[in-house]
Amino acid sequence: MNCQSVQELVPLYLSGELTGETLAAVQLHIDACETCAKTVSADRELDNALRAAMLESSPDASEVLHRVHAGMATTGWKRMLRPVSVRTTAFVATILLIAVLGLSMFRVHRAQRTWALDAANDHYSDLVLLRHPDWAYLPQDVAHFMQEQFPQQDLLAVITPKGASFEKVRLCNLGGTQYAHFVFRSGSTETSVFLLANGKASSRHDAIHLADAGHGLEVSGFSSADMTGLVVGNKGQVSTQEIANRLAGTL
Amino acid sequence: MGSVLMERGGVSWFRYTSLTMPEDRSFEFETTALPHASGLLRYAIHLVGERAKAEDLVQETLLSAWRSFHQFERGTNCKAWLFQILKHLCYRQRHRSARAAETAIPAEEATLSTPERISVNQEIRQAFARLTPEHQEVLQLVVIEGFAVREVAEILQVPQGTIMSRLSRARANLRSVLQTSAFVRKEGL
Repeated sequence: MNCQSVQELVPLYLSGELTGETLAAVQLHIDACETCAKTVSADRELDNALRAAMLESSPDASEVLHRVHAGMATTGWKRMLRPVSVRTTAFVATILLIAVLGLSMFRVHRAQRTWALDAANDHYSDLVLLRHPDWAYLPQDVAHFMQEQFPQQDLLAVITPKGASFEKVRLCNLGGTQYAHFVFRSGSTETSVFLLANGKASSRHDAIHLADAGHGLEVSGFSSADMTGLVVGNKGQVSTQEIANRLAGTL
Repeated sequence: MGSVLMERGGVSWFRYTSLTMPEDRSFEFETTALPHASGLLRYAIHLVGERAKAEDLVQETLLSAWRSFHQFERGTNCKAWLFQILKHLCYRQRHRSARAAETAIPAEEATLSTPERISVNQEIRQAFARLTPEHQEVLQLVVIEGFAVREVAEILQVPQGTIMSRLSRARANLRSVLQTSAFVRKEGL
């Protein structure tokens, strides 16, 4: 190793970054070469003098540290609240939202379906199994019933399906709520209309149609401004949807 | 980041993706990063030339480091990491203000006493202040702050060979400036 190559490595030699064979070769040269030894020694003394001079007037950082501590205290609570991954937070929030909406829609749909099936079962129990004797069918009894349940309007003419005639009415229970169950007859076909004034309902039901509600029946539900109701009839013989749509528009 | 996650496996995946609160490393920051405030301030004064601006720069550096401390890997050189942040912030500030990258002599040095009262150390500081900013920078980082040449190359984002040659020339220039003074004759530097 010659003087020029050693001089090039002096910065690494002085900072203690040389290792192994390179360090040994440089050290060997410096020990043998008076010129390079003087250069290294002078550089080392210059470094020591410069370090002492600069550190003697080292600036006081206490004011900066005071401000940094204050800054750390104010940003600490933000760090505690900050989720590590914003994308993960957005993903989790989206999944939760979808789950909540899905569950909510499922529960609403299930409640609607239960409501419609209750009506179909009540129609079957009343008209096929004949389990309820408490019908009002005499004119004076019907008038009394209507006066009690729907005093503000003359409903019977409005809700009677085309080509059918009113037969009887009674109060029944659908899902814990009392509805008026009207029965209309057209030949041997009976159609049920369940009505509830909205003021009496705990919650409104949106339109629903069950093409197969069991017992060969179909059901259509509706809600208008004043009434909530269901129409139940024999599948393929009565268009419950058409009747429900008409009632939704007229009631 | 990817390699860090690969090396640390599932624990890091949980840490970076969970909604748990971040680990409190304030004590570690106080004992690892804040002791370098004086060195940062010396370097900042060299870079911006004005004490008040240098203090602002160091404050911004340390608070940036605090906010990013979860990214700092234990066992690596915290001082070099802080100096890198400071250099980066200073570069951004200069870029914004299009300020000329000239280094002024610190205010306290600009009003030095009369020649008779100038001490040896003051004489060296004056000679240092007459060097180019690049030479001052490598001497400050290597000689005063004690960084290895390799670390200075990382901080300044230049090749290691450039730092070595710049360091040799900086020492030669400092010696040249001092040669005219009684200090060199007396100390034999």
